[in-house]
Amino acid sequence: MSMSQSLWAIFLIALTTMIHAKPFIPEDDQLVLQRLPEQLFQSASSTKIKQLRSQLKTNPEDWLSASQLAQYYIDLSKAYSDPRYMGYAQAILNPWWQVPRPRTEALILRAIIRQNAHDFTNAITDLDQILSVQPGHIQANLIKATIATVQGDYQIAIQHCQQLMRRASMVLSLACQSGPASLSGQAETSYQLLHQVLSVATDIPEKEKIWAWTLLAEIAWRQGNYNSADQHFKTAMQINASDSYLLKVYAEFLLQQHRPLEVIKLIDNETKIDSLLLRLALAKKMTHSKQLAKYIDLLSERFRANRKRGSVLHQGDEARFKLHLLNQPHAALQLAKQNWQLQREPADTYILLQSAILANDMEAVQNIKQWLSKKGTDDELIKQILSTSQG
Amino acid sequence: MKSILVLSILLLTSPFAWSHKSSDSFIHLTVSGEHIMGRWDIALRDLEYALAIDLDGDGAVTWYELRTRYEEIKNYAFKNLLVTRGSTECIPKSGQLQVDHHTDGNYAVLNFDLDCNETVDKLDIKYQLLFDLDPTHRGLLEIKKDQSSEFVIFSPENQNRIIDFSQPSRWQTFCQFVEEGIWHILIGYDHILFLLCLLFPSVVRKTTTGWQASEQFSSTFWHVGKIVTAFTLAHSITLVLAVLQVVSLPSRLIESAIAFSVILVALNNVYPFFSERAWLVAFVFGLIHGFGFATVLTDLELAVGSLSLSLLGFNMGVEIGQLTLVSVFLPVAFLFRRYWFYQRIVLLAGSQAIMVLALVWFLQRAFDLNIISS
Repeated sequence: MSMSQSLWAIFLIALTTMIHAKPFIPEDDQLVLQRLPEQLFQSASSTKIKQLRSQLKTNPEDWLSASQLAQYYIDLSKAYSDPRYMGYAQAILNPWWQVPRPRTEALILRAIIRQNAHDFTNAITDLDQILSVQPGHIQANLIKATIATVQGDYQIAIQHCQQLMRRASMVLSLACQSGPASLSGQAETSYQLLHQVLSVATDIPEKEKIWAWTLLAEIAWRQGNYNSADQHFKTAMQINASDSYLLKVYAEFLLQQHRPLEVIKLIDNETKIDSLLLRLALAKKMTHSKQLAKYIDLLSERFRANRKRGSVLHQGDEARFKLHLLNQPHAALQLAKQNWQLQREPADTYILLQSAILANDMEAVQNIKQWLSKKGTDDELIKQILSTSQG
Repeated sequence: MKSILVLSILLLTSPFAWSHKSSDSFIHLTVSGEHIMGRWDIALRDLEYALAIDLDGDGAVTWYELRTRYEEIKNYAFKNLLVTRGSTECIPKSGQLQVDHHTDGNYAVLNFDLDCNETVDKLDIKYQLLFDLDPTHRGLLEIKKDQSSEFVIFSPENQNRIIDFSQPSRWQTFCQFVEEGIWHILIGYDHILFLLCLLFPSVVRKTTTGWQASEQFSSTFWHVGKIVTAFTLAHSITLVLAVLQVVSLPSRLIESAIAFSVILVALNNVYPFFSERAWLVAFVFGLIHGFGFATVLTDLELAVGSLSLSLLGFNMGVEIGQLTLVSVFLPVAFLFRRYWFYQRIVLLAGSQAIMVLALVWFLQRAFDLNIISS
C-alpha cells in the first residue's frame, strides 16, 4: 500500500467511524474491526475463563464454575462500566434465576445484577430472603443499604449499615452509614467519623478505600468544603485513577467548580462510557470548544440507541444532556421526573430541581423542597441551585 | 505493515470511541410482493462471545477473521431467526457480508433475501439470537411494506411477533368508526343528558297554570327535529374543525363547558328561560360537545389516508346513536305527557337530579375536585 493510498484509507476509515456512514466492505484483511478488553485475552485469567466456559457448556448447573464465572463478569462489567458483561453473568446464572429460593450466594449475585439493571424491587426481594434467615449477612445488608440510599430511604439504609458493625470492618460499616446519615441531617458527624477512621485505619482493601475516600469527598462537597473535597478526591485518585464512579463524581465536582480544563485532562480518553462522555461534553461547552457540536451529536446518538431498546437506565443523564447541552428544560424536566421516581441520589435531585426551575414548574420545586426538608438534607449545592432561581 | 499499524491505532484512539451499552442486534426488513429484503446488523463483540471469531486470540477481530467465518455466522444467525408466512417458512438467501459502525462498536452486516413463495401479508417472526448467552440482549426489528412500517423489540420474554400487513378495506374502516360513534354517544352520559334535558319539555308547554300537554304530535316532532338538527349541525362543524386541527381548545375547558351546558338545560326545565329558543341553545352548546367528540376521535389514532372516511363514519355513528335515543324517547314521552308522573317526576325531579350530577361533574372537571370517584 502506497503512502497516499494508506492516507486515503485512514481518511475513509476515520470518516466511517465518526459519522454514521453506510455499511462497507473493508479492503484490507488485517483491518482491526473490534478490540476486546485486555482482561479477556491477555491476563492469566483468560485461560481460566475458557476453562470455566467449556465446563459450563457440558454441565450448566455446576455451581462452582458458574459462580466463579458470573462473579468474574460482574467485576469486569463494573471495572469497564460495561453492561454487556452483566448480561453474560445473568445468563450463566440462568439455572438459578427462575428458582424462587436458590442458595444464598446465588441470591447475592442475582441481587447485584438486578440492582445494576435498576430492578430494585426484585433485588430487594432477593436480599430480604437472605436477611430473613441471616439478618447479619454482610453483603445483603450492604447492597440493601445502597438501594435504600439511592431511593432516599435513609433511615432504612442506616439500619442495614448498623448490622455491619462488629461483623465487617470499621471502615466498611462507617462508610456505609456516612452516605445516608450525611443526607439526613448528620453531615458533620458522618464526615468527622469517617475521616478519622480513614486516617488511622491500615490494611483496607483498595476498592473499599477508594469508595470511602470518594464518599468523604462527596460529603465535604455537599457541606461546601470545596478544598477538603478536592483533597479527598485526589487521595482516591492516587489509589486508582481509573475507577469509573470516582471519575464521574470528580469530573462533576470540577465542573461545578468551573474547572473544565481539568475535567478534559481527567477524562479525555474515557468516551466509551456515556456518563463520562457527557461530563466531557459539558467541559467542552465551558471552554467554548469547537468540538462541542460533535460531542452533542455523539451523545444524541447514544441516548437514541439506548431509548430504542427500551432502556430507562440513563434518564438522569439524558435530562442533563437536554437541559445543559440542548437547552430544553421541559423535555429535561420530564426525564428528570421519571428518573426521580426510580432513584433519588443527590445528583438526581439537582437535575430535577434545575430543570423544574428553568421550566418554571414551581409545584415541582416545592415538592422537592418539602421532600428534602422531610429527610433533613442539608446541601450547599441545593442552596446554590435555589438561590439562582430567586436571584 | 506500517499502514496497518497506523490504521489500528487510529481506530483505537479516535476521540469518538465506541460506547458501552447492552447488546442489541438490528434487523431491517422490506417487504415487496413475495419477497423480503433484509439486513441484519450483529455486533462483532457478540459474535466473538458466541462463536469465538477472534481466531488467533489476540484480542482484535480483523476483517479476515470475520469474513472467513461468514458461513458459520450465517448458520448461527438464521438458526435464531425464523420467518414464516402461513405455514411455510421463508427461506433466507444470504448475500454480501459488510461492516457498519454503531454506537457500541462495529457490527457485521448480513444482507439477505427471504423468499416466501406467496405474497406477504402476514408474517410470523420468531427471534432468539443470543438470549441463551445474554438475557439482556434485544433484537430490534423494523419491517416496512409500502407506506406502513412496524417496530418490534424482541426479548427473552417476547420472542414471537405476528406482523399483519393486510389492510382493512375502506368499508371496514368506515363501519368501525360508525360503531365507535354509536358506542361513544351511548356511553357518553353527558351528551345524552344534555339532549334529554332539551327534549323533556318538548311534549309539554309551560303556561301560567302549570305544564300543559302538547296537542299534536306533528308540532312536537317538528320542535324536536329542530333541536336535534341544530345540535347535529353544530357538533359536526366543531368535530371536523378540531380533528383537522384548525381549532384546538384545552380539554379541561371543553369538558367543564360540557358539564356546564347540562346544568343550564336542566335548570331551564325547572325555571324556564329559553324554551322557545331551545334549538339555538342546542346549536351553541352543540359546538362545545363537538370538541368533546373530537378528543375521542383523536385518541383512536386516525390513519392519515382514511381521515375523511373515519370522520364521516364517526359522525354518522353519533347521529345514529342520537336518533335511536330520540326515536325511543319521543313516542314514550308523548304517550305519557299528560300524566302527573311525567310532568313531576321525569321532567322536574329528573332535571333536578341531572342538574346536581352535572354540577358535580363541573366542579370535578373545572377545579379538579374529587367528589365522586368516576
